[in-house]
Amino acid sequence: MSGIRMSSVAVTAENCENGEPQAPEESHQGQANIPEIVEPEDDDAEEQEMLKYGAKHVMMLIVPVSLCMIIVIFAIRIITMYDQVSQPQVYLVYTPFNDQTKKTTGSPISDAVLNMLIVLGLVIFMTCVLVLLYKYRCYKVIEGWLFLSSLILLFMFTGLNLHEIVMRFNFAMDYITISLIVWNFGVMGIISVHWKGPLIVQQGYLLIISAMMALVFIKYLPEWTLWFILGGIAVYDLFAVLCPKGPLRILVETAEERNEPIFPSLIYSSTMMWTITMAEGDPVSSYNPLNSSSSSSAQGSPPARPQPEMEPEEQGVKLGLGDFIFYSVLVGKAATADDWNTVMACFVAILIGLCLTLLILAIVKKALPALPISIFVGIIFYVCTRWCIKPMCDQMALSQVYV
Amino acid sequence: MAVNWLPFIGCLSIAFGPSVTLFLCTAAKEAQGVILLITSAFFWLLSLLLTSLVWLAVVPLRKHLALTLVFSVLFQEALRVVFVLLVKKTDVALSRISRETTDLFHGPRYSVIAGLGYGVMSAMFMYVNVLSEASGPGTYYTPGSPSMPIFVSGALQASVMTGLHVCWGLLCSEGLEKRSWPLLASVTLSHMLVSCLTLMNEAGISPIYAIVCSYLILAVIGTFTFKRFGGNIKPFFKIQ
Repeated sequence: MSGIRMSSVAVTAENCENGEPQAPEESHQGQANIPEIVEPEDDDAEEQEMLKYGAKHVMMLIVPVSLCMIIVIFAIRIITMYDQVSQPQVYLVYTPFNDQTKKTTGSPISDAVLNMLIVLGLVIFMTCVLVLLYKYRCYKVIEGWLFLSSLILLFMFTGLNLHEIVMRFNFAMDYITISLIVWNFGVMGIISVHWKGPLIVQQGYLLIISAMMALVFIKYLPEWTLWFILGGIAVYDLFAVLCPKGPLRILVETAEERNEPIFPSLIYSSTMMWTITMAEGDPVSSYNPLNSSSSSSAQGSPPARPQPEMEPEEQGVKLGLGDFIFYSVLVGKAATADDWNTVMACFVAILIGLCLTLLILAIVKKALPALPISIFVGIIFYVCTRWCIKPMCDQMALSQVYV
Repeated sequence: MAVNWLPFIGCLSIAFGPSVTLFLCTAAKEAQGVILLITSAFFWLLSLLLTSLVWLAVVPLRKHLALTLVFSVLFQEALRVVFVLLVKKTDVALSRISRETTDLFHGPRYSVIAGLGYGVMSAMFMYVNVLSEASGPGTYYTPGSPSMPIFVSGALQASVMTGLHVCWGLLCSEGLEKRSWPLLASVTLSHMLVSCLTLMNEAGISPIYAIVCSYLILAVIGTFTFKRFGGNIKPFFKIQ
């Protein structure tokens, strides 16, 4: 893996300075042959390298993840459509068991579990289809699929959200202007995500796509189902990335073997994809793509299940768009509760989970699932804040007592 | 609606302006500063969680905020000590592996950041829910002050708490480093004192007294911290 390779280079450089060139492998394996003094130095170089890159890379992910969550929080607070439950609520077809259709099993929990199983099954199926397509090199099909889903998100949902914002602020705008804005916005997004564009524009569009996807989940999934799906996806993520036969792991490994990046529309990358490939001299171990995938199905439905992957190296860190989506879903759902304390608690909890994941990543140096730790810490703090901290804080705020 | 945005922005600036400035001057410059800030905010959250669990478990406590407050202060200071020790430990572990002294989490700047994380989180938890009402129609007053809306007094209180937490963070890490128990005790005691002052709000006394007292305490503690860390006031007055 490149993480290890990178540190070997540092080790070699260090040794040369001391006039004791050593093969990097020796310093790791043939410890007996090496003077004692050299040893700690090797570690030094390695550690320092790691720390410096580590902190910077954590930041490179914390900023976009925070931005995405902030977009979702404010969208929910501003666009009233997202936290209204008044009109007959519409749900995605994948969650047939809810109180709107008459097909309920009686308890919201068993409904939610059944819905979760359907959605999770769909996600697994879609992932497998994607992996198979990738394995048999049907790139065109995958491209088309991803293209279509980002097309729908960028045009349809931008239009929808813009419409709601205009209504919310009671601002008159004609359809021609709206369609012009949506067209420009969408076309630029498609070009920068699927073809090329400045890195920052590409990253911005990926964030917006994730945020819109998260809003769709929040709006169109029944409440209990949403929580179960969050938990289920986190567990599934764990298996998909870590199991030897997990679909995402296969995807990452295949991409690694072929030495090619995974589709840019599935992964947020802190550096430009093509620079990575060009800068690396060694073709085999150079690029570690990470896994991620998110398939999206048409209709912007619950498709995307993405995965996380990241690698702390000089080439930058990568995080699946799915991670962005589900982090934002958690925080966004907290925002619908009309209590800022819950939102802030979930926000901090998710960032802490992300830091922990990156810490583990720095230690094990292989693609890791980013959802489990963050989502579980997030859910724990959601529950605790909602039912323990909030009542206490309300009482304190009411009598203006500061602790 | 438009009118209410003005008090909203004003209160927002009073409450979080100083902390944002401090953040930009200290933590924002480098990655590990931001990570430290988030971690320390998380530790404050943990202390609040512990408090609320006690509050929930001991039923009689729910009627008496004064008792909850004592628990809360104790938990906060205990977790602050744990956090400082944890950071120190990480620092030692890091400097052991690398012979060059890493200034990763060392020095007063990081204590400021740690205190800031604590302060910002506490100010946000105590005040943001109140503030979010400020943009809406109507306003609130506490029984003690028919003239000063709760938004303004809360903002002042939130900002003074942030400042105090920064000082406490510095003093706490100094106290642990020098093994000076009086210093640690004074941190806890002054925290208790400031929090107890706000009990006056509950008792129906005008919040102005609590705020004025808190700012006086901040002035005293701030000066003390400044001196303790060898601060020199002259550069501030030097004409560039």
